Amino acid sequence: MIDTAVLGTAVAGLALLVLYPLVSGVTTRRLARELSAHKERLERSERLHRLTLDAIDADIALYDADDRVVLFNRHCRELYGALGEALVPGIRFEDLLRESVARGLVPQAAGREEEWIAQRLREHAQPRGALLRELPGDRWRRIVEQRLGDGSLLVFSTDVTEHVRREQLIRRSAEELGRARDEAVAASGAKSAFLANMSHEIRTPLTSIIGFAELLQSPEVANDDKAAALHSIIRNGRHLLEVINDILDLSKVETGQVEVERIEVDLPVLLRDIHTLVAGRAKEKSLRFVVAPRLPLPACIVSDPVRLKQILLNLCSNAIKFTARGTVTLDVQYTAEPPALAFAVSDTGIGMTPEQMSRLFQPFVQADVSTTRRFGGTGLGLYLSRQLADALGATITVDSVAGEGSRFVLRLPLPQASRGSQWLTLEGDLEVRECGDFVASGFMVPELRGQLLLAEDGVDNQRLLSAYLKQAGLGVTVVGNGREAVETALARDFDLVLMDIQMPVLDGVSATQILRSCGYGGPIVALTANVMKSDVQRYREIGCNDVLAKPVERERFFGVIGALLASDRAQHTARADDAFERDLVCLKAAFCAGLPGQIEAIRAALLRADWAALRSLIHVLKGTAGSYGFGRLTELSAQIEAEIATGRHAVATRLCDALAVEAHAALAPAVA
Amino acid sequence: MSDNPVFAAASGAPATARPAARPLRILIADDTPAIREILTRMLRQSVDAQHFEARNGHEAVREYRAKLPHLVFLDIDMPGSDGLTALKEIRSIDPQAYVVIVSGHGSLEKVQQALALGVAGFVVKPFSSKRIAEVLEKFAQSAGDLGLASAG
Repeated sequence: MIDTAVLGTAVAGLALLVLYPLVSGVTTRRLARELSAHKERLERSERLHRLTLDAIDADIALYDADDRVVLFNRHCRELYGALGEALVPGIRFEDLLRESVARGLVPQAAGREEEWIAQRLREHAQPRGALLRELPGDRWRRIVEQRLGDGSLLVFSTDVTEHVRREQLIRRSAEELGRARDEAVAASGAKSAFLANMSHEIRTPLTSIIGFAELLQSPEVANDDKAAALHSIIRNGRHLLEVINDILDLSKVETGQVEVERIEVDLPVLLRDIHTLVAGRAKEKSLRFVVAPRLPLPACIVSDPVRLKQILLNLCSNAIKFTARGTVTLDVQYTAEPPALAFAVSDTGIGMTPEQMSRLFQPFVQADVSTTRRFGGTGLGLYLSRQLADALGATITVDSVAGEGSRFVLRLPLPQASRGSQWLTLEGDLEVRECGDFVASGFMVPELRGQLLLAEDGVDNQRLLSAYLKQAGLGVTVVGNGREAVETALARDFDLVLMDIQMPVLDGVSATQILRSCGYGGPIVALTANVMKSDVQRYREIGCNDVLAKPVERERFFGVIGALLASDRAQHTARADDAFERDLVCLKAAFCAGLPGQIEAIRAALLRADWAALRSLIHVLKGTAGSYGFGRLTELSAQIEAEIATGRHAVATRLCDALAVEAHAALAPAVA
Repeated sequence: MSDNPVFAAASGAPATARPAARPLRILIADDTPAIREILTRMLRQSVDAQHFEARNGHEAVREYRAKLPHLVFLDIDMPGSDGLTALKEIRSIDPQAYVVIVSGHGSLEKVQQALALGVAGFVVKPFSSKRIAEVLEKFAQSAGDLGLASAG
């Protein structure tokens, strides 16, 4: 179009010059008219071209063969508006370029102006395809230069900012997607590795448990081997429990379900517990385990005792796991500004490289896979510990030298010491001192007194818990469901009821509620696998004095039962005063004195076959004998009453004989 | 002690501060004299109270209406009159009546039946002084909550 416009103008001018003298003489006026009309057409055409050019949504510039600007369209003028007066027709391309660079209109050229100008001039001299140019304000243009036949040059450029941005966006998204995919693949890889690891961790102890249990089945196993097998089963069972607990805890941590309590924690008791639990494991590896409290220390802190103990046990077990010889030390120190307790677990073990330390608190990762094989464990302990520490508002830091040992510090901030809080200042204030004082295997079965009712439907648990209770010298009555639990607890005297929560017929929650509604005031301890804080809270609300988690940990089992028996006994001994005991002796003597008469009356009623009278006599005996300590008489009376009620008089008569015999036996020592 | 209904021995709580309170009244309904006696003796170990007795269901209802006792021990296996009927009548006289069932049969159904009728306790014969003390302790707590001890 440009060509046509330029050529049109040139041809019209030439025609005028050549033709004028020839025609002037003929029809000058006609020619002048035609010329005027032609000029008008020409101007209109030129205006049309100009309008068309300006209307195009692109920059268009035409340079002549000397590389000077012939024309710019409107877009171009606006775009280079910043050049102001420099932008005049006739200016050379290179000057325009230099002016633009000098005015900072070419961000691409910043810092390498000459180089950029030289390159641009080369491209300009031999145009080859499209160029992409960045403008100030993150704008982008696509420039096409095209040499025309007469040596002039057309520069055509369009705004491609949106296009470039979209491309950048797509490229970035693609990169992000790639990264996300890489991460997902890595995470899934870690999880698969973890699952494989976990599967191994679960199968290994199970293999031992099943293997040794099968071994025990064969009759010809020597006693020593039996003991060893049992030991292995217990050890592997415990380990399995640990692994499963870790996995469950991890799932709670990952779903944000960690519940934290804030209650008073007795520091010496905490330290003693940890000592008891850790010293045994240390001894198995011939290591020394030392608890070294640095006085003064607060006697009591407010935290979550279970979580705190879990973290410290994790750190201690870890230290023992990675230490072949030497000592593991737990030292405890109080700092006042700001108030905090620092529990430091140091070992003389294999230590870690800085690289290993950096991966320490990540889930599923032990220092490396070979570590897992060599030292066992779930690789979750430290990750869990850190998550739990977070939940407690505490921090865990680590310091380690490969080959020399590690030191983990749990720093637990304390609220400002409360008024009247006690301080441990003397060695004697602590029950815990250097480890040697403690028996490493730790646990002694306590000697307890009392009658317990165990309501539990699982036969294995019945056996196990009965064995525990008998071991401690306690009497046990076992029932298998909630109905029997209610009926037995109400009918007989027990010092404590162990109530399984999940039972057939009537569950432990309902049974406990019924007993409490009946005014049953003795201690009831729930046995359950549901040990979320909310469950425990509910069991307490319906009247359980305490809750024991299944599987039952022997030490805590005896701790809970011992404490409840002691407090219940103290309460009731205080109440039963001497006067009552004297009264009871008198009443019992009176009952005994009257008993032969009652038996005689029963015999007489039998002879008369006066079943109504007999039933009445038996009913009275049933109601009284037990209260004076003659439970067997009450039982027999109850049976007789039932037999009479169903008309089985022969059976009732036989039972009455047994009753007479029992009455004589009961009286014999009393008489003597 | 005698001019105050004192649960102190049972609940560990201090005696009520209101001096005008009249003694605690307890009704024991059982057909066996020995049971009434031993229950009375056991109760005297823990609380200072006026005791009333009934030998059957009819007497129990009559005595309840006449004395409006704070606490009732009711045998539900008494001959002649059904204890459960007596229980229902007593609860209809006073829906708040604090009744503890004393029974020779502690089957779950019987216990649940009684609890459904609103009894406050269920003691199975033969009972020990400990069980009676526990029942009293529970009564003392609810009496404390209701201010019953001093309301007379």
